[in-house]
Amino acid sequence: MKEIIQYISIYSTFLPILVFFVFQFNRKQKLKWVIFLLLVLSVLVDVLSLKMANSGRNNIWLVSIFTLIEFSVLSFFFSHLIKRKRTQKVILLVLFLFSIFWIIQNFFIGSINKYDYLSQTIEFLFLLLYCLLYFFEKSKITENIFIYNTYQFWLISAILIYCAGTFFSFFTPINTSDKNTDVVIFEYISRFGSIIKNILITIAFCINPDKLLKNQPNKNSMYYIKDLKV
Amino acid sequence: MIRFLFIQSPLANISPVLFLGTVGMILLATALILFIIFHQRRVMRYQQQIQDMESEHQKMLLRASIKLQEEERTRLAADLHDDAGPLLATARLYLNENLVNLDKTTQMQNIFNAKQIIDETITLIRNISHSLMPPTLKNFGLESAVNDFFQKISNSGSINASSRFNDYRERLKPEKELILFRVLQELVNNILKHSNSSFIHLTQHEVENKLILRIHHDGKGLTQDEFLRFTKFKDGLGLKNIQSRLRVIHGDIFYEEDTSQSLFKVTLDIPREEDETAN
Repeated sequence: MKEIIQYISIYSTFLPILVFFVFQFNRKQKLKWVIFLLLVLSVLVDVLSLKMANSGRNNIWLVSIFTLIEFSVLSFFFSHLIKRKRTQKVILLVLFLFSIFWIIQNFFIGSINKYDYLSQTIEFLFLLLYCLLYFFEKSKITENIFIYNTYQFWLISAILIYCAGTFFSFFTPINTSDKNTDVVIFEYISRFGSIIKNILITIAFCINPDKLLKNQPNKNSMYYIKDLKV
Repeated sequence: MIRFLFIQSPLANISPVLFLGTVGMILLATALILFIIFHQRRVMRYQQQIQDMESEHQKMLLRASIKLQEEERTRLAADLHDDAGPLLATARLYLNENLVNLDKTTQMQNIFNAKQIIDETITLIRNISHSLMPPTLKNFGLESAVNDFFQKISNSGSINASSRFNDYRERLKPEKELILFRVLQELVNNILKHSNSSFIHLTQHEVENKLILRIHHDGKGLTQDEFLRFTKFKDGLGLKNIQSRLRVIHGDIFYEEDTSQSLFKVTLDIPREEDETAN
């Protein structure tokens, strides 16, 4: 059973990648590309870390490095998605501070070969916050298109559900001494979260904004959506 | 995004805190997403309602405008048919084929009569034409036309009417002046018909590229709420017409009551376009 979940979660990552290749409507949609590249990278990291784990080698350094890359890419993603200039600057500042923290945490305070729960907790905390900021911004703007008709909504929902589902699991390892048991708990939650996330990203990749663009009102209209092509 | 680690152990080890926390977080996230979806749907429905109401209001104004045009055409047709038509028919009778067979004196008399009737018809047609487009407005502008209009009302002796233009150095575009003049005519007409006032006074001034025209009168007047209510009724054609005309020139109208002086005020606020600026 455990193996089935493990393999479903790995192969479910291929689903959005496949859909991206089949339904890649508009090459100008750079945010879809960002998520696509992150997915490819995560597959590579997953496969590599699984091979290392099977051969009994420590793969934690790989996961730690991926945390930094993931947060950097998603910070870029959110800074393009959230339109408020001040928020964009704050996102980039948080990324800079997080990078410094990650270096200190992995090279000075702890070791890169030890699992860095704190960095991941902070990362997911900020990702949750960015998702909330995005939804808050969207709730204030009046548009003539249902929010679930935009691929951005599904991508954010994927990130939100995944972060919310796995976020709480970070606290347990920090507060307990039995790390081995707790790390495994995290694995199950992470895999389920990953499957849901991949399904939601697949939905996002299936959405064709070109169809929506055809129905766009006049540029001067209050209902014109500026970020439909992003 | 996935973090697969190398250590494995049974699922039964999941602590209640972790389980409840995770389930709670997922429920919260789902609730948030659903809230956003339903909130947006509600906002869109509300926007649609506003749009429908606006569209209905536009239709009402358009219907009022068409009805007024039809009334104007009917009046014009009646004037031409009832006044000009009989006059010209009478003139034709004087100038019939038998005229050559009549004696010289009768011929001269008939021609004189026909000439008189034709002169009368010319005057009649000129009056109709002036009612469509006042020559004073066309030739000398809004200020002269309004002063002339108020002078005529005052000369009738039934009401004291006066107008004062303080700062009308640059004329508005002719079509805009005509619309504004028609609005003023309708407003004054309403005051004469319904207010039972003893005086009407109009003042004009300019504020920040806006032409402000204000009418004061001491009779029964409307407040802004009453005006808006009347424009939503099926009748109140004149008020709807005022509103639709002002919409064309992007103007605003404000009805207010000056309780301190027992006066009613109507203010027209007309923005000037760049090529009609006074400065």
